[in-house]
Amino acid sequence: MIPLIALLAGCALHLAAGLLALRRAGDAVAVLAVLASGCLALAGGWALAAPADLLLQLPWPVPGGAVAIGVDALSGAFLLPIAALGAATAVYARGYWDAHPSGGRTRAAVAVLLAAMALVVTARHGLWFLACWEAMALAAWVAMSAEHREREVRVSGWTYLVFTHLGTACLTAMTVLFILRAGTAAWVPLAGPAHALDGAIVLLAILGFGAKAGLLPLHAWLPGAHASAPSHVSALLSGVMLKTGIYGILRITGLLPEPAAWWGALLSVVGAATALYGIASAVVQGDCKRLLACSSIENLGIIAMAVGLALSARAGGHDALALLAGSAALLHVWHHAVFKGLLFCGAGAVLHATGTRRIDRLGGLLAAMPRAGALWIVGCAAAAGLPGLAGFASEWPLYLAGFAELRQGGWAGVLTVVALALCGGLAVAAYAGLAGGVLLGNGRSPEAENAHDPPPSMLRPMAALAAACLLLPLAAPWTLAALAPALGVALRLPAAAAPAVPGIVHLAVAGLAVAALGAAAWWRLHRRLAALPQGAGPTWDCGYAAPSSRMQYTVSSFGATLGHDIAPAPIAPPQDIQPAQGLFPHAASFSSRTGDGILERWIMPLVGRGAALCMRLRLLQQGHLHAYLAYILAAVLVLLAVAVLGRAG
Amino acid sequence: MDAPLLLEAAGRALAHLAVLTLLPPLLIGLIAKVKAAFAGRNGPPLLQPYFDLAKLLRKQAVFSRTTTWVFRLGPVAAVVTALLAGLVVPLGGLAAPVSFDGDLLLVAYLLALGRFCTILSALDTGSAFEGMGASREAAFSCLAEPALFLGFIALALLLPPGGGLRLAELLAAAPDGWRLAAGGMALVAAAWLVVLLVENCRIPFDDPNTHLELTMIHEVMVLDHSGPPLGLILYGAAVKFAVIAMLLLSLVLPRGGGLVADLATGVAGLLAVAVLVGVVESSMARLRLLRVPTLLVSAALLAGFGVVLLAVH
Repeated sequence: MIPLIALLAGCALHLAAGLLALRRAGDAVAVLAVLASGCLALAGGWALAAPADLLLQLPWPVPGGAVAIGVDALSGAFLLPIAALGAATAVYARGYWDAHPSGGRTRAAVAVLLAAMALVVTARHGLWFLACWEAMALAAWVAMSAEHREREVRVSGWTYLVFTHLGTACLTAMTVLFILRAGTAAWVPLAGPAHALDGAIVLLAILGFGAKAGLLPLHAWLPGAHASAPSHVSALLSGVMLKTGIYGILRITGLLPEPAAWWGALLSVVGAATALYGIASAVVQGDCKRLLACSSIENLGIIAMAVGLALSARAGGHDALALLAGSAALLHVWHHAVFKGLLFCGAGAVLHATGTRRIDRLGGLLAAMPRAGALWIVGCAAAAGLPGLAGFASEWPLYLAGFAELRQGGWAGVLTVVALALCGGLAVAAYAGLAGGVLLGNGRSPEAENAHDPPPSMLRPMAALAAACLLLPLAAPWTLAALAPALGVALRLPAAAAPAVPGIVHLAVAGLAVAALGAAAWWRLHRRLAALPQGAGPTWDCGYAAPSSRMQYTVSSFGATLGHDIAPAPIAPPQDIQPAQGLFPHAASFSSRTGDGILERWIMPLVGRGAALCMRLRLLQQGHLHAYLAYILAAVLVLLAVAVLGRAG
Repeated sequence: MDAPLLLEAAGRALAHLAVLTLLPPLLIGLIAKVKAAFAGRNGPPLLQPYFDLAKLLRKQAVFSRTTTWVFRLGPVAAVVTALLAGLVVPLGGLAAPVSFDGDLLLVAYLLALGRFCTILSALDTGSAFEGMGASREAAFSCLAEPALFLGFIALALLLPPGGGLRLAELLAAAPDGWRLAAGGMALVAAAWLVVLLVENCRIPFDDPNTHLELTMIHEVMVLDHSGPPLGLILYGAAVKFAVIAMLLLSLVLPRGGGLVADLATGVAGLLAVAVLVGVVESSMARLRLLRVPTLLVSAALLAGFGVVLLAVH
């Protein structure tokens, strides 16, 4: 009973904080939000530690509806990151956004978003789930549109609304099919043999939840929305809200009796395409928050690959492999939440100090803001999947699962391993470009040169998240064991035993060895340097005497080799570049913009054509009242005819 | 385990460590010697890289005022990651001192960590030259990654399903691979040779002897390093060369002799790889930069065909 009470208390506290924030955003609101997150963490942790299926059912006057809230291990696995990032951003926003004119409104929207997410991952009834899902989607829209006076923010917000409602439409259809299949909208695991509708339900779930998780080609709302939201909101969107899509897929497949092999295969292929596309677009972004958002697309693709591998292994009867791949998916859900939260908070600190997100106007910030900069480098290394940090620790079990699958003669393992390897290389390029462009070298603008470290209320949550990036790999043997019951629910495996992940302890030790040997070498090098005379000068750069900050390699040039020379044309990011024209150009200016290949080359033309077709419907819409009355009469007559003919037949 | 076996294991680990830490600069010297021989010169002495390292450790280091601690982290990371990666790679019959399930991933990702730090170190100088090198290093080595992993996949297909995934077991399956599908193994070896050349910035991808050309990669990243940090970078690069060469050699070297025989074949194999690289460097020109991705993708495709050939057997 405790998890249920804690969950409800957490949601109530979040909503109370939201109401309070509408009047005045102050310390009290932040404290309330942290308390609420504590309650949610208690609920999630308890549900994972003592797995039991607790269910609270209340009547709801909606036809066929009921409020059903249940906290099981799978909910717990998703409640914990919601709690962790909720608390971190609650503190962070104190110094970052509360003073903004939209501070109170954003606080309230974030509070609703957090409560709605907690309810989404605990909803056990189709209609109640849809209601919570819609509340979450709309709260996110309000939170991300804090600066709605800017056109860019409004456009991103509308794009998000269109995509999220496409997703909701699919989920509504899925709920209807589920009712047809099960006879009730309540989400209770179905027994018995597979049904013909199962495939359609899962397909709609992958489409609808995929739109939220940013799976190709429904990812297109993601970069814009994350870039124009306030940074702590971006952290929440990317760190936890995208994951509700993964939760949905796991929950739905956990309700259906027998997974078919193609469910996993579809997810593997879509996940691999998403991961590669996401990280390849990250390499060429010139906006640091768009870059982080593209990398979120990559990471959600990786999680989808892991879920796909788990489902196909489950369908093939390889339970141990299914547990391994599934645990990789859930572990990556946690680890990605932590390092992406840190990175978005870091981007917020940069934005706070310099007022720009354009990497080509930044540079040299590590000297100007040493603390936030160092924390950000930790986040970049973790997101690049480097050993000893959180990103690698969760990609590693997925690699093992991929190898195990291919040794059984499957192709999905080959796809997973090759896609992960390529993503790993591209992520190193993307994050080296980001860290190098923002933090290293010389400042490229006065804003960058006058930057400063953010206040402690922003630094402390970042430090906590960075510490988690370093400690989670060491805790991986235990977290994997803790996640096992959640996998039992998602994969419907009775044996909720911890998946055997050989070598995970060695991996943690290897991370420590890198740190220890590195520290020893660092210390030795510095003793050596101290014994020698020291020299300092300008950057040598092959003897060029007057280097200036504008001559540095920018992030757009850094990513050009990979992004424009190598990427295939149909998905290469479109660029608008207006260079100077002619032999003696007057007052030329240069600006460049990197868009989304799939959105601009495929989706927008399609939407345009659809809109042109819809314009033809204007023939019917003439604004005359009698015409509309005639339509209504015609519709009633047609319906009557159908009813009469139907009875006659 | 009884005492003689334990002693034997310790001896093998020590021999492996000695080869890993002491031999790499000799390989670089040998490459230079081979190239000099092809060019009809005497060339520097074989031990020149050791002399260079000893000299650099005594030299004053000059740091650009633009740089931060990140710049000094690069050389440290280059050495530490290469050495730790070497600890899990066996050399023919000489087992690696450390071996655990999934260690092959650690090899690839430790090298990536070293690369990440050296790239950051180059970008920290704020120099256009070094940024250019960093960008190319990032681009080309990420395209080399699939070739390396497809090779791992080809070898993994030789193992029975459901077992562990140690690099040692994987590479020990190579003789079976040659017996079952020699063509596939040859393709994997060719792909890994390309990986060796590109990861170590050798011709035809990069010319380690040039310093002032716009087409170079690794050398241009370390332009601003001097003194002991530069020494660390050179040593780390040599160790990295040896580590990838060890990986390649484990595909072809005979194994199963005594400690001395294994050590001798291992060292001879490493020297042979160095000679081979010297011959490649002397006999071909560097590729145009825009052609490099094509060759890297071809290498990945070769390894992919190797996977197919090994999978059908």
